[in-house]
Amino acid sequence: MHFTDDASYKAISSQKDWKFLASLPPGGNEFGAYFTTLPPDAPRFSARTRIPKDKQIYAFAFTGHQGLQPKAGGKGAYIFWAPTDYLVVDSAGLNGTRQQYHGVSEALP
Amino acid sequence: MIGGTDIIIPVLNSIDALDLAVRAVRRLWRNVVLEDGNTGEVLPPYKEISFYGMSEVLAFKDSAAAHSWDKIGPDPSLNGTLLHFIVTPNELTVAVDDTPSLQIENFIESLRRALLQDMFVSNAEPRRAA
Repeated sequence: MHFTDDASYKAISSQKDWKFLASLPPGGNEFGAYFTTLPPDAPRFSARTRIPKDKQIYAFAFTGHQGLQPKAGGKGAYIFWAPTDYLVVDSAGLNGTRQQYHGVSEALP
Repeated sequence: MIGGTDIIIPVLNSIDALDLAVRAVRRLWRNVVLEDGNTGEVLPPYKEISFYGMSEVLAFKDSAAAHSWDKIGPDPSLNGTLLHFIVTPNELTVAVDDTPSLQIENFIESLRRALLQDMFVSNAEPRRAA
């Protein structure tokens, strides 16, 4: 899943193919696009991912992880990243494997 | 967008490393609240903790911090109130704030030294009597 803010949510969801732009996160993290396999209702989601609350309302979910690598260290179990922009293509073969969530905690099954 | 800074320390034994980290953080914060990161369950008193099979421990400075982290998430007002330990077979990752305070930096350095010493002791060849 990729969590983001209102502006990015609108920009990404307005396109047929989702493009997640690489950026420099705060802290000691490398420039890239980041994703997590943790659902937002995982125990202590905020503390474990340090994703700000205002970026937990919007999420994109997809299957597959081509081109993504696990984050170095223990968080590599559930945080993955790409050093460049990451594209999730809306191909026929991917039907049903992409979902976007607006108001994540309520929208997720 | 993720945040925080991950400090990765090589270790010889992940269970021992997690045990040591928990003992150290209990000395750092008298009212620390310890939770199993995978389950969110509060850990029992130290002597009753079984570290086998445990891979993540969240250490909140106190119960107020533990509550606030769920309520407001990562926020500058909570800097210096959370240490997140994750073990893999040969590493201990300590996740800290974006810019850790001096207290946290000193803690990490002490922990790193202790774990390094532990590695040297464990790797040392036993001396044979002449």
